[in-house]
Amino acid sequence: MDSVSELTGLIDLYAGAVGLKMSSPPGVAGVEEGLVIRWEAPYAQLVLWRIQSTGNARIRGEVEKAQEILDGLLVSAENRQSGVVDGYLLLFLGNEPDEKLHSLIRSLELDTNVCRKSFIWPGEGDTPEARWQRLWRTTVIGLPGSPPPGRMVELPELKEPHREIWREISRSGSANAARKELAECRRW
Amino acid sequence: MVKMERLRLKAFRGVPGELQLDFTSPLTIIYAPNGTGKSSVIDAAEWLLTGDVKRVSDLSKRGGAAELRCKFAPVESRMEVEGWFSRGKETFRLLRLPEAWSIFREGDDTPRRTTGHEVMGLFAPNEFRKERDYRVAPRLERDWIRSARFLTVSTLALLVDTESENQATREAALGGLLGVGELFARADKFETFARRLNEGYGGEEGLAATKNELARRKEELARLRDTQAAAACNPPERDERKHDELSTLLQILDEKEETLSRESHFRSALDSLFQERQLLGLEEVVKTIEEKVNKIDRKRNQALEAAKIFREKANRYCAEQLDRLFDVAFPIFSRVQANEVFDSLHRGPLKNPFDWVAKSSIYAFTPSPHFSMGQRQDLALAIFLARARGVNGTFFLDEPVLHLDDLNRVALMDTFRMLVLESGPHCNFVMTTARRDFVRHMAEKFANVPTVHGMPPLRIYELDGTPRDGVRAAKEWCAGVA
Repeated sequence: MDSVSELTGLIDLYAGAVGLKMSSPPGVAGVEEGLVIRWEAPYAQLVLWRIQSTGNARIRGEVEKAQEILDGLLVSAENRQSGVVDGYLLLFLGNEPDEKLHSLIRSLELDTNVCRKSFIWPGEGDTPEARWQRLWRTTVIGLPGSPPPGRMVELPELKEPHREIWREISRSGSANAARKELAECRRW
Repeated sequence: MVKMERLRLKAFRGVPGELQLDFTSPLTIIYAPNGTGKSSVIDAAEWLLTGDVKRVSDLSKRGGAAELRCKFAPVESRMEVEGWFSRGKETFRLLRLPEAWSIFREGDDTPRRTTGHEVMGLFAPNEFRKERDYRVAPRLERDWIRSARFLTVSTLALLVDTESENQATREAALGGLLGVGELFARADKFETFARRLNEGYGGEEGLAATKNELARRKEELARLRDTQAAAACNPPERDERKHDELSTLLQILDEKEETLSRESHFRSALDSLFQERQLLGLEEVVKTIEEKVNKIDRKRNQALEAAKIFREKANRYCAEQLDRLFDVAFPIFSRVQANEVFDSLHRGPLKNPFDWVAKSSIYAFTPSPHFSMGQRQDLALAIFLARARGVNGTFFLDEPVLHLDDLNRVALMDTFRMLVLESGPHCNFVMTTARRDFVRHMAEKFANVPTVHGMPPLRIYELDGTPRDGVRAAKEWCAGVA
């Protein structure tokens, strides 16, 4: 399975958990096939965009284009129904970006114009969830399952001298038990 | 899993009259300016579920119901809190009065008086009922309910606090949440016992002084023995019979000392006898001090050993739990950190798993000294919400968005919308806020969200008034697709 298919499968799973369904056809009219995959719900649209460009200026340009297209989708969705439809742009990079790209990524992720944008690239890990760690920054999708509530752990077995101290502590409290012990010593 | 569906409070805290709120939506926001009784609603839920309001009992020595009753309530008004609950298809109602709880089962209008332990058993995991000690079980349940179901500003701070002096409080809250509160509590009691023994003995210095004194006396004793042995070429042995005889003789000598001392030929014999008495006395002193020191030392070490057994077991279990919890808490945390700083979040070492560590590039950071206030709040919220998804039921959050910046507040709104859609059938959240813009923005976020199990996804209450003039729900509306 190539990395985009793995990512798409993962998004499908966690977007599905909050009612976002992959659009049919999955792309967007007027955009090269396979470049864009879209998930939609009445309250939000999520677009996965494969970045083709290299270099800061070109990437910025491509993100602006992606943003414009998503804006068009959101406007037409809002025209079909009342109320706001949120947009989320997930920008796919084939590899981990180099240092030079980091400040561009940061500024684009902090830019709230039109929609929330987040970059994603494959990382290392044993599971798809771990390999696509940055996917979780997409605020609209579901999350991996939380562990069940903590069960009460049984109290450990203590030896007799420990039990003896515990009996005294439970009878009169830690401070009083210590005071009693000291008083006994002073009597000697 | 029990969900609270409705809450009614009367003459309670900042609400002098009666206030009834519906929590059937997965998310309920209670909006009001400060001083309008928002937190009273959260306190009322805590009182109903646990029989106590921690922030009040912590601050007030008097505590109890007297502190909870609204001072402005009419004298004839009885303080009461009532909750309607559902557990699967079963429903029941709980009424809390200062003196007792009553439970009303579905289709049965006759209330049955019940105990705090029974009530808390409804909201805490079944595991806690295994505890046989009738004094311990309610405490375990109360700690768990508080930590797992209520997020207040103080617990927010506590969840991410890594200051060493607050370790015990942190362990109580987080240990309670993870089900090992009693292990930490017992470790703490053993440690207190050991510390008090030490203090009673004058602390480490006092113990060291006693040990020095013991060493000095031992040296003195050895010297005396050497002197005596050299004189008699026959070192004295500890002999009870001889000791008794000598004591009697010395008593007589004491009485006759004046007379005897005049006689010079008795002088040397007397010196020898006094030396013997000194030796015997010293032996007694040395023996007593030694036994005393050893006993205290032994008890102290045993108490510390026991504390270690409890603490190690608790820490090991917490570490396992936290590893799994952080698989979810970090994604939530990173969502509300638009300005990405940290790459990952981990528990602390096995010795202290609650010393969170955040990693960024090659550096490691701990929340207390290195996180901003906003980041700390984000982290605490992330831990609380990650936990809530696993626990299910009703959760109360008092002012959870106070310190968030604009971008992160929007991310948190998205996170709540996600939780409502994903966990709505299993969880419901009740949140207070004093920010009108937050309420407005939430209503927009939820405008096109479909119903969850036939319920509007978001219900908003706007409270109005003051404790003096009365508090009422001035507005109530729902957001979402009808």
